[in-house]
Amino acid sequence: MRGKRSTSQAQRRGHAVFTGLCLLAGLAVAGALKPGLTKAKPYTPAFALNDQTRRAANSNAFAVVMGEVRATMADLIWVKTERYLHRGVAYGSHVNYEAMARKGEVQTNAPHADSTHQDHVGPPHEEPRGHEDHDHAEHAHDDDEQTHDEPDQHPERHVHDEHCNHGAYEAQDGHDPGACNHDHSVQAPDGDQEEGMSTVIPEAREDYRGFVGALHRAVQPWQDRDAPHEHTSGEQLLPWYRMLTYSNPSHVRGYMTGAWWLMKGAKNQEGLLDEAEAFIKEGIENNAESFVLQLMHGRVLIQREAWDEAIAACERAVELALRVRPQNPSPDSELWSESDEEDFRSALRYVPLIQWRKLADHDSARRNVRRVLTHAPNDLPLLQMLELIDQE
Amino acid sequence: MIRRQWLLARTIFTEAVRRREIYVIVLLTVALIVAASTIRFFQIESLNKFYHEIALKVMIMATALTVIILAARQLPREFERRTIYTLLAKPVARWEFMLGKYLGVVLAGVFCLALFMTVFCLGRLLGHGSINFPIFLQYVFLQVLGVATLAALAFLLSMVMGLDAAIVTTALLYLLGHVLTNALAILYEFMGTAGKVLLLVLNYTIPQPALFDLSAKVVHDWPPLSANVMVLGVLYLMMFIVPYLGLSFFLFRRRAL
Amino acid sequence: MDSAMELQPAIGSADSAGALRPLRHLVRAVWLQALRRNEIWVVGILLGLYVLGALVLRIVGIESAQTARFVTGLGLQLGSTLTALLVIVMGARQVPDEIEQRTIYPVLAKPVSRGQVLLGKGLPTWLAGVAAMLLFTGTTLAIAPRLPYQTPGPLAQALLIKAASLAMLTGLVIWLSLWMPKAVSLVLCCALYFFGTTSVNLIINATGHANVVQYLSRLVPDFSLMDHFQRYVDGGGLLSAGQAAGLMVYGVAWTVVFGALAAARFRRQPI
Repeated sequence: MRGKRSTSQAQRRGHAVFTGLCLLAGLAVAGALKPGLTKAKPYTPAFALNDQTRRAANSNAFAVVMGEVRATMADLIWVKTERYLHRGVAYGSHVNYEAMARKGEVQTNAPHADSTHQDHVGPPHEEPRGHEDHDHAEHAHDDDEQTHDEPDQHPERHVHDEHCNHGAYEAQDGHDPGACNHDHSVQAPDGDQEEGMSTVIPEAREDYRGFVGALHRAVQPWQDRDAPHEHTSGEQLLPWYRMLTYSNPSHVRGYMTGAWWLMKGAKNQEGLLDEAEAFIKEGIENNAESFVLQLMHGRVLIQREAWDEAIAACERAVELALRVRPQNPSPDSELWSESDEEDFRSALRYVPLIQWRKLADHDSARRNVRRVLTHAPNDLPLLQMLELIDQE
Repeated sequence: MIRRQWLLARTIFTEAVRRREIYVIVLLTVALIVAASTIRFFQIESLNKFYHEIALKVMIMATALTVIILAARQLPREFERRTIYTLLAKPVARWEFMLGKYLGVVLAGVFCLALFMTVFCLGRLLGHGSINFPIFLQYVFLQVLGVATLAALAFLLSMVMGLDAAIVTTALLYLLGHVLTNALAILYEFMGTAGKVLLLVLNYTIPQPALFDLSAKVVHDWPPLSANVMVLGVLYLMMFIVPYLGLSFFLFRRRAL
Repeated sequence: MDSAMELQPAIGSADSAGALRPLRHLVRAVWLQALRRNEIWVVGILLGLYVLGALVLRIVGIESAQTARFVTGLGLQLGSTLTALLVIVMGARQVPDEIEQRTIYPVLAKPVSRGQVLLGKGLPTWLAGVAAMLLFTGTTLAIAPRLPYQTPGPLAQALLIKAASLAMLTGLVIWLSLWMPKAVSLVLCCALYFFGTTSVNLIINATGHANVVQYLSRLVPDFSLMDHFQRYVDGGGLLSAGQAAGLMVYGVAWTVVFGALAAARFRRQPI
């Protein structure tokens, strides 16, 4: 009897020891493996994952039917952005996300909106009216107060950089890069420029559903396509970008767009610039090879007026970009998009621009322009900058 | 007669309320929402839209799933456990029995919803958030009717298919309701005559949660709906509740004991 | 017939019977359980979703490679989510239902250890999950056109790693179901599976990336590490052999941890 009991006790002890060992070994292995495995998550897609491809994926008829059902958080943010910026109204996709991620602007892809602003296409010194909407101050575009407030006094001072959609490749090809196609002026931050955009919920005259359709239009946010519609603040999107980067820390665009909204908000609330910097630094920590995040960091530092640090960040951006930039970039390149090229050129321009305009160090600026021109020999803003520095 | 139904409804309600699950789900949901609302997003205050959206979505989904599970298991379990014999041996007509059960489930759902909404309002008011009460109350009212519609649908499906299948089908209809509505609205122009007729039929025979879910308007702070629209909403939901319950009763009565 | 009861002879006499016998019993047990609990019809209903999706696609058409990519991504992600839900729902009620309906007594009266009973519950749950995942993946591939960069290698890797992730999930849900009411274990598992990584990242960030928190976070199972379907969809290429093996070992390690915890709990559980 006693023997049986002691056998069962030994068995129980054996079970306990075995369980304990399994537990410890399992936890040790899993814990040790995790940091290395986190690096297995990011990958480079076989195509350029830019605004065009995202729009094509998220605005086709099937995607519209799926509403907010998406496979990834990034695609869900796409839908959320469209809706949050329009007070919940579901329009056909028309926000230019590329511009939003890179320039912090709510631009639209609405073709008619472009056409209404054709008069803004002009030579570089012709600053369009109402350009203040653009909010250059936050971009440290070198359009300082002087340029904005007194556009006619120093028209030549408008040095183009990332805000001017020259088409980076056009400049390279020797086309007319001087025509500053200010497509950013089609932004509609205060609304009423985008009438005619079709809504996902059909209008009464196109809806076969009778009273069910009427109820749908009344219960869900909807408005007539001809009614002027407004863009609301993008600040409310910030938690979504925060959640996006928590769930996918390698989502570079999430960091970029979030940082832009924070920089924008910094004008009205103290401390947001710190937040923007912390956010972008987190992005860099998680994506050490991303040159656009370094560039974004440079922009934050420019807004901080931390010129030396900004120069360092932009130089780092150029260094990283040169590692991945093809020898002969073309618009058809699968892995180096036109927007990558534009960002690269912005990074090239920032360093001499800051040295020239902010640090008044003309020699360094001239030297740097010449240096960076080796990477983009036909870059008109750089050539103009050189000319202006020489004139001074 | 009404007293008997009320007694039955009260029994179901008490049973649901006494079960630990309902509180656990409420507590977990509330914990999730409180956790979400304590996250500081970049020191930005008044991020109402995000909190409203998350809180309303989570709460209404938890309520809907609770109601669906409660409703779907009422009738099949009576047959499975054979407790239906004891009940029907009493002077209760089958329709009274079914209606009592239905009312009990709806009451439990409303109880759950009330708990959530109280927590939501307290949370927003204590956290210095704002609520647009006119549209919010309309939202709650339509959700109550939505709960009643889901319960009726789950009752019907539980009589047609097994318990699990009924739960899954009702839950899918609820969770993918917005997709269904989009599909019905958008696909019409792509269809031939037969397809168009089919879409028309589906449009009037399947309840679409997008048509009683005002959460987007609450989140984006829209003005309240007109009385006419509210009446239309009520009529729309009654258009499903009454026939679904009728059909459920028909199937329940024909079911061999 | 209960699945655990079906499994017992197979497990008990594995050494004396042919090597295929346990497998035959296992498959039979899975099939019987799935039929008895209508789980097979649930999978059927979920497959119906894919059929509806295919119908919609047929109507609206797939006009570009990006649409095809969207459809494949959505189909695979939906399959992954539904499979996880299926495993959670099935796993959460395996033991509690047996205890509630008192069918656990005849099982435990047989010469079978409690650990074996748990294995008899976990294996069919995991196998059903894997089968459902293969079914959903196959249906997605049948619906959506394959793009040139979507090669079989990454898909096979994603499937294998997902199978390991389902084993982790099965272990977790069975362990939790031994501790708490069914509904609670179900909700907790869903929370951990779907929001675990985000919550952990959130806590790490909130505590200023404190080292202690970072180390502790390694003790939380990270299911998001195990999802690589999007890599296949986007043509992200193969994981290195080391990464793939590491992920498999990670899945197995957590399965062992949850299995050990569940066995320890079940052994002491008064029934």
